[in-house]
Amino acid sequence: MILRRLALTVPILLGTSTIVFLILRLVPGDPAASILGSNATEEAIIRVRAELGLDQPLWQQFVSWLGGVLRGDFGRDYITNQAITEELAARLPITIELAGIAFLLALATAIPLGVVGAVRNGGWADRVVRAVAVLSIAVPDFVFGILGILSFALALSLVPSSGYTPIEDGLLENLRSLAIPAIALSLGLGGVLARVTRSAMLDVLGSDYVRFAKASGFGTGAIVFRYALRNASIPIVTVIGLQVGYILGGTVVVEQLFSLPGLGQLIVEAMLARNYPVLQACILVFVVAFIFANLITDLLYAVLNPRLRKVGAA
Amino acid sequence: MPNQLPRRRPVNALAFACTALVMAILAGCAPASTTNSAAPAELGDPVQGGSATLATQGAPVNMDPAEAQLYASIQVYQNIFSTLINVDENFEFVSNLAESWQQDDDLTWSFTLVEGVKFHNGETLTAGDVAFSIERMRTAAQGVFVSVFESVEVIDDLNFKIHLSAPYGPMEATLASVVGIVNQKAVESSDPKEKPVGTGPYKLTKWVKGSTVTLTRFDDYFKSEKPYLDEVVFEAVPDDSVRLAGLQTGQFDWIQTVPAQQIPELVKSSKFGHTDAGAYLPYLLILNTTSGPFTSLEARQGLNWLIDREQIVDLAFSGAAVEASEAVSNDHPFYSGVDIYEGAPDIDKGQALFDEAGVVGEPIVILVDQADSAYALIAQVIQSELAEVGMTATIETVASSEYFGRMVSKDFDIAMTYFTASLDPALTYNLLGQSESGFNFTGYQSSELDAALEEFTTSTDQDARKAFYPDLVEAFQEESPFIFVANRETQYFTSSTLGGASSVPTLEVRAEDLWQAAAE
Repeated sequence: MILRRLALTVPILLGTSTIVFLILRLVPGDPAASILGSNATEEAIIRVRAELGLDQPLWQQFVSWLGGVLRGDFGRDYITNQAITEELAARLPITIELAGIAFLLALATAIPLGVVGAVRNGGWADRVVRAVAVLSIAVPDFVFGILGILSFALALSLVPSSGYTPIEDGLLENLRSLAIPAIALSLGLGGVLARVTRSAMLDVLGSDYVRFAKASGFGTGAIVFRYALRNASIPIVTVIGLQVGYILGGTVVVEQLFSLPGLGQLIVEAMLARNYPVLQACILVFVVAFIFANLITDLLYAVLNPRLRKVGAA
Repeated sequence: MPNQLPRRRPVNALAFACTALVMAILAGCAPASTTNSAAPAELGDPVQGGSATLATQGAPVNMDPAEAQLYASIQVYQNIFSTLINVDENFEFVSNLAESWQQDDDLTWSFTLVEGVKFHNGETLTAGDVAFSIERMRTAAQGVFVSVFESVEVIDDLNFKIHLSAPYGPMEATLASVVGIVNQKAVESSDPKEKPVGTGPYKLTKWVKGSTVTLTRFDDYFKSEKPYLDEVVFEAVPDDSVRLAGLQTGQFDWIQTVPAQQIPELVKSSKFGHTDAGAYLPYLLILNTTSGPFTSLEARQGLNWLIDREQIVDLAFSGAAVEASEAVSNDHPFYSGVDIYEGAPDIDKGQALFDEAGVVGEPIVILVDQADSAYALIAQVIQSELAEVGMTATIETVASSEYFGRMVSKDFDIAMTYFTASLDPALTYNLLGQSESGFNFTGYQSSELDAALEEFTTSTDQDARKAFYPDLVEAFQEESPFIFVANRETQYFTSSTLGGASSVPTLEVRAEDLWQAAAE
């Protein structure tokens, strides 16, 4: 099953690469103009376009780009002339760290909150959980980001207001520089997750076997954690898998706001400059991340629900 | 391209948020005309040591002075490289790497270098390095600015001559602005885009792409008492309010551009220092004179009568600008104050001219670059004024990279750009208005104005040029291929302990003047 899924990613990657390549070319704008400054002469533009190979037919550009990617070579940044693999190597760890912390924060807070909401269904704890969840879904992450800067950086001076401190300069400093952006990024996912956990748990807690377990004298804790949560985990895992895309998209906004030199910031800069090879590489990285997140989700289904294992094997 | 007038590029905004593209020729060494208004007396005399973090809008991408064109790059590397000549607060050209210089004849200038100047790699500056820097620049992206430089003749280690292909009035302005002196050995041994080696006050020690550039004091800098700070960090922070928050938390010592509506409060605050506001960014309308209503001279003049500069200053710049109708800033020695449309807006005069042109009712496209929010607001003011004379204007907002293509293919009626205030207005007017200029987006061609421009540019008698300049301004206002509307103010805010900050017409960030009172 895993092999079949992996094989399927090849056409998906090829398809998305083609679409991304074509869409970028359809967007008006000229990278040569960005490179030369927006007031370069026409001759200079023509010269640079030729240097970049932008005067070749589109299919030829695509084939040579794809050939490079298959050899692990994403080409060179139009603006800085740096190898894009080097740029990715410098920026990707920052985005992974940011997204990873946000992801863990969301899991660590939302699932317990969702469980509490379901167990205390209708009570004040449930109401608070629901209110917090809706609020964190409804308010965009950049608003939380700004509020975070104003309160934690400006008023309390707990964290720097922007910028990234690498791990080499100390783990604590590094985490402080990522704290507010990671929290801002985690809130949207956390809100969705808390709601899904709550409703999935409510379903399970209302089922016959839970009632039977209760009747057999099992304690609430055992019921909730040994049986109910495990059975509620399928929809929760599904949502987590889908929300990986949300986190990745969120890094674009959050990194820009907090001046973190990660992949999200690179995408914005590359888009505005029509820096095609950089954009293509970044988007490809995001697509790969998303595909693998979904693959892992599917594998987790099998782990969580033995019945799926049999179906997969058959 | 010999015998061609050197060209300067107008500034346009390009990258994210407010990363301004400012062309180097207009920038360069600037007068330290205004100093920190945070009562420098309270700070005492400059002291050595300490560090400062400067928050800028954009991140540099290229440290090669012959190639880099983004203002975000220029404002950093100007502290790594030195120019031959500097400009003082009175716009007088003063010695920098060149100890002395003189004009031998119309086509020849002689220079003598300061002795014993060191590069960051330990090499000693020679005339050969200057020749190499200029020759190299001629074939690079910034080459258009030195196209009138025919050759550099090295006489000995300290003496050289620059031979021109045509007489050139803005000679000193060009050398003070755009020619950063590089070291041949350094350029040939490592990528100059990544590893800049200059004679400037600071050397580059660490560069995190997209984020920070760390500059460290160059101990062998040729001005013995400078720089004051041991370390200067340029940090790119695209968001205006985040930059301001960083100043308030003490994370930053100096910040560029705050939201205009917050300026009055910040200026009053005793917690921060600030530089004087200088109106150094003229904004102008570019009219398409090759097709559409503005092929008509009357329509162009009519538009001039409609422009409400006061409203533009208030709406588009929240008051942080001054009204403008020419290329240089109000404190420039060439400033003329000429405005043949004084009294505008005058709807009746405008209406009469549009009627005369016979273009009333023709659709107008105002093309706006999304990179700078002021453009769209200026466009709205113009749109409502045009409506008063029965002209319907549509505002089209596009990305910078598309904007440029539309400018080149003349797919607009009115477009907008801004310039850094120039050390010499010849460069601005030549660039925008000379018939053959690659940057003449208006398509306007006039042999009379070309002749006037040539006289103004090739004359080397600065007094005669100054006397001639108002006529040139008037001639361009009369024909109106482009219309200056406002001059945006530049002001920096600092921590209360940072001394030596200034805002200068060339928008240069002079890190060598900065010092920390807190360093004691």
